[in-house]
Amino acid sequence: MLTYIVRRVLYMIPTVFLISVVAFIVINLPPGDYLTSMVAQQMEEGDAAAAQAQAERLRVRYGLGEPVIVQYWRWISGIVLRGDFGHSFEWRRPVSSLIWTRLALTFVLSLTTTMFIWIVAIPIGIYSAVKQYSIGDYVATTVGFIGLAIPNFLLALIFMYIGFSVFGQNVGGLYSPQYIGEPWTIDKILNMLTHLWIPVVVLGTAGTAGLIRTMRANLLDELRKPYVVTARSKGLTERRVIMKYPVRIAMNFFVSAQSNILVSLISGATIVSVVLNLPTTGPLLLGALMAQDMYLAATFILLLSTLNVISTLISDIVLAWLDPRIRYS
Amino acid sequence: MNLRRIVLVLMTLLLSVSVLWAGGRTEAAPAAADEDFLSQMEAPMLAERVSRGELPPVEDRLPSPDHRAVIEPYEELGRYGLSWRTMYRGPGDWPWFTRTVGHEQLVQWNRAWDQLEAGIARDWEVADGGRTYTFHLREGMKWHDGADFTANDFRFWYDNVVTHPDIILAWPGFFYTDGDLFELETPDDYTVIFRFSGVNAFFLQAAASADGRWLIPHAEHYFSEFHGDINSNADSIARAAGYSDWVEYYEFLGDQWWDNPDRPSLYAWTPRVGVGDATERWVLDRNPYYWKVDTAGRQLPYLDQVVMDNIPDNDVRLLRITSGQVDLHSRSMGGDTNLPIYRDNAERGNYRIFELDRSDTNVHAIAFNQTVNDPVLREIFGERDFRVAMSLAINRQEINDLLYFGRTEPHHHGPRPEMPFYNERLGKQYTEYDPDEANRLLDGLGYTRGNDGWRRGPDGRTISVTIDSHSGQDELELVEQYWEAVGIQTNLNIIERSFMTERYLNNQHEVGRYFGGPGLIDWFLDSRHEVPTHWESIFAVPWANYYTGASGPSEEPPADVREMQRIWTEIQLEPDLNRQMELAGPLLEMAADRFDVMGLLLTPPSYGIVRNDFRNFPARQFNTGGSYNDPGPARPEQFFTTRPR
Repeated sequence: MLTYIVRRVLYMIPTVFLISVVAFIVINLPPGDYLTSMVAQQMEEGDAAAAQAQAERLRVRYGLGEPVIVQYWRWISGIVLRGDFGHSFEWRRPVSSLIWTRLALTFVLSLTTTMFIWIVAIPIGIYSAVKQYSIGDYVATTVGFIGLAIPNFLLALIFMYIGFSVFGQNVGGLYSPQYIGEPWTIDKILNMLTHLWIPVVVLGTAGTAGLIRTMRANLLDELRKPYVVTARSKGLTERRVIMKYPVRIAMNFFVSAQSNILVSLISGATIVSVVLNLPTTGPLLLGALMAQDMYLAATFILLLSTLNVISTLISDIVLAWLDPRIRYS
Repeated sequence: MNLRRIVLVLMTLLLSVSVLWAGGRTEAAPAAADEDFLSQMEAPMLAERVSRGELPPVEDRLPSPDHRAVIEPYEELGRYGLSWRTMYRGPGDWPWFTRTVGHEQLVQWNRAWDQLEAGIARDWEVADGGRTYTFHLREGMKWHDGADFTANDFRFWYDNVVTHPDIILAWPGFFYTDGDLFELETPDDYTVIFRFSGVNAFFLQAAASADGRWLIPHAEHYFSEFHGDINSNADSIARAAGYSDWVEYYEFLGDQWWDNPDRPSLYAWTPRVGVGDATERWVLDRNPYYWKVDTAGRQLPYLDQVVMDNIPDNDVRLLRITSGQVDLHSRSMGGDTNLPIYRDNAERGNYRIFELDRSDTNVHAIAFNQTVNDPVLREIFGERDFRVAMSLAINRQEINDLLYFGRTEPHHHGPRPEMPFYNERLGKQYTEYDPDEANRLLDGLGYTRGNDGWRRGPDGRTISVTIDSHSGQDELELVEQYWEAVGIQTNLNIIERSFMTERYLNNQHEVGRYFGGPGLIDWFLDSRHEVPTHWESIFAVPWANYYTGASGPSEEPPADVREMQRIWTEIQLEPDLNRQMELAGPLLEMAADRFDVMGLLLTPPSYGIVRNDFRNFPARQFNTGGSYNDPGPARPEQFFTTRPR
C-alpha cells in the first residue's frame, strides 16, 4: 500500500510540471500582453501616449518582451525557490495576496456541494435501483434528467428572478452585505451558511442527477449477479443483502468518479459564480484570462490542476483501500 | 393525492411568506424624522467624533473662511447621512471611480460644460500666451488625514517623483510641450506656477479632465517615508510589503488613489481598503477634512458613504437597478436593448431614467483609405464623386428605424449641431438616400456595369472593396447591401480590435470604420476625421504620420490638406476658446469640400438611472470620454437622499 502511494505521489511531479508549462504557453499564445490591453483601454478613457510610454517602460521592467521560456523560468523558479507567484498586473499586487481566500471559499463551496450531492444522490440511487420501474424510480429519473439538462447558470438566473419578482430581493453573494469586508467571526460564518445553500443547490443539481444515474446503473449490474441470489436464498435480510456487498462494489465506480466531480465543480462554478456574484476563484480566473493578466491566470490554473491531481490521488488511495483487487494488481 | 397536498402546502407557505414580506416592507417606512437638519453644520457622525475629542471642530477642519469652496446645491440644501449605492465591474472599471468620487481637479468644468470653475485651486492665471499657469491654493485646506495641503506638497512631488529618473508613472502628455517637461515654481505656500517651454493651449482643459488627477501632488508627510532618496529604510519597508525595492512599492502607492487607501486624499470620500482588496463591495467613507461647503456654510459632502458593489454580470446589474437597490448609475447600462426593461420597472424600482448628451458626433464613421496601397483602388477612392455616390447610396433612415428605434437622424462626423461652430454642410451634405443620383455619378466616372451587375474600375476589373471593423456588424451589413445595390462589390471583415488597429496603423485597410469622433468642446482636442492629425485618421494614416512625425508609413498630403493641418496647428497654439472657434470655421469648410469621411447617424443620447429619492441631480449632463466625466460635474458632494433613515 505504501509503495503504491509513493509511486502515485512521484507520478504527480512530472504531471504538475507539464501542466504548468502548457498553462503558461497557452496563456501567452494570444497576440499582445496585459500592457497592450491596458493601453487599449486607456486610449478610450484618456491619454493614449502616456499609457503607451508607461507600458513600454513596464514591459522592460517585468520582462514581458522576453521569450516565453525566460518568462516561464522567472515565474516557476519564483514559486519553487521563494514561494513567490508573481505580480498581478490588473490588481496591482502580489498574486499570493489575491488567491488564498478565494481558493479557500471555492474549496468550502466545492466540498459542501460534494457532500450535498452524496447525501442526496446515494440514497436515491440505491432506491431507484432496488425499486426499478416503480413510481419513485420514474420520479427520480425525471427529476434527475431535468437537473442534468438545465444549465447551472440558467438555474441560478431562475433563482435570482424568483428572488426578485416574488420577494423583491436579490440572491447573490456568500453573506449579507453588512459582513462584506469584515473579519471572519462566528456570526459571519453562520451568516454564510444561510446563504450557501443557493449556490450549493444550483451547482449540485447536475452532479446529483449524474450520480443518481451512475449509482443506479452500477447497482443494477450487481443486483443481477448470482452471489446476490445466493445470499438471498441463505435467508439474509433484504437490507443486509443489498448493503453488504452490491452497494459496496457499486461504490467503486463512484469513488473513482469523484476526481472528476471536483474538476467539474470548479470549472462549472465559474459562470454560476459570475451570475451569483460569489467571491470564488472562477470569476477572478475569467477576468485574468480576459485581461491577459498572465501570472495570476497561470497561478490559478497551476493551483487548480494541482488540486485536481491531488483529488485524483485521494480517490485512487480510497479505491485501493476499498478494493483489494486494485491494491494488489 | 399526496402530491397535490404537498404542492398545496408549498404554495400556501410561499404565499404567506411573500405577504409577510410585503407587509413588513410597508411598515418599515417610517415618516422622516422632523428634526431641524438645516442647523447641522457638519455630518452628525462627525459632530459625535468631535464631542468625543477625536476630531477638531469643523471650523478648524475647513479652510479659512474666505478660502472655502462654496457649492450651490442644484435643488435644495441637503440632509446629512446614508450612502450613494452604485456598482462597478472589478478593478478594471476605474473610469467609474474617477467619474464619481475622484472628480476633483485644480480647475473643474461647470455642469453646462462651457466654462472652467475653481476647484482645488481657488483661482488661476494664464500668462505668456499659454506658457505659464499660476494656481492659487486655499489657505487652511487639509488632506483627509488632517495634514496641511500646501505648495510644499507640489514641491516634493515635482522634485522627488515627477523628475525622478527611476519612478515610472503615466504622466500625461499635457505635462510636456515639444517633449519638454514643465518647470515648477512655488514662490510661497499657496502659489504654484507651471512653466512650459512652449505654448500649452489646452493645459486647463486637460487639467479639468479625468487625466487631471495626475496634477494632484503627493503629500510630503506621507510619501517621504516610502521614498528611498529620503528614507534609508524605504527598501526594507517595501520588501516587508512584498515588493522587490522601494521604487516598485512607491509606484504602487503613488500611482492610483483607488489602490491605496492610506494615500492622503482631497476627495469627498476615501476608500476603506484598496479596490483590489474589496472582492464584493467597496466602501468609501466621508472625508472629515473636505474643503467644500454649501451656500449655508455647512460642510459637504451630504452623503456619509459611497458603496460600490462589484457586479461583473450584465443581467445581475440590470436586476439590481430594477429592484431599486441602486441610487444613481450611468455606466455599462446595456445599451438600447435594455432601455425598455428599465422603463417597465421604473415605478417598482422607484427610479427615473435620465438622458446624457453624447459628445461624439456619429455612431460610425466610414472612410475610404485614400492612401491605400492598391493603385487602382487609390485612384477610385481619390475621386470625390465616388465618395459622394457611396454616401448617397446608403439608406440612413432605414438604419435608424431598424437598429436605433428611430431615436436619431442621418448625419456625418465633425462638430455637433448644438455647437456654435457647427458646419451644417459638413454634417448634412449627401446624407439623403438617392440611389439614382449615386448610379448617375458612378456612370459619370466611367465605372460601367458588367454583365454580372458589378461595376468595372479603370483597369477593367470588378470594383471590390473590403470594410475592416471590430464592431457595428448590424449597421455594416446594411451598408454592404446598399453599396452592392449600386454595383460595388463589398466585403465585410469583422476582426478583433487590436488586430484592426494593427492593420490601420500599417495602412493595410481598404475601407475603415471607427467611432464617430468627438463633436462638442472636445472637438478641439481631436479632429481625426476632418484633418489627418491622428493615428486613427483612417482615411489617410500616412498623411497623419507626415504631420505628427509618428513612426509607420508616411506620405506628403495634397496642398489643401497641408493647409488644413497648418490651421489645426494654429488652433492648438491658441489659448483663447473664441479665437479657436473662429479658426475652426474655414477648416470645417475645407473638410466639407473634400468630403473625406462619411458618417451614418448622429449619436443618440445615452442614459442612466437615478432613484426618485436621490436629490440634487441635475437634468442635463453629457456622456463623453475622459473630458466631462459624468456625473462628476454635477458635484456628487451635494447629492443627498431622502430615503428613510
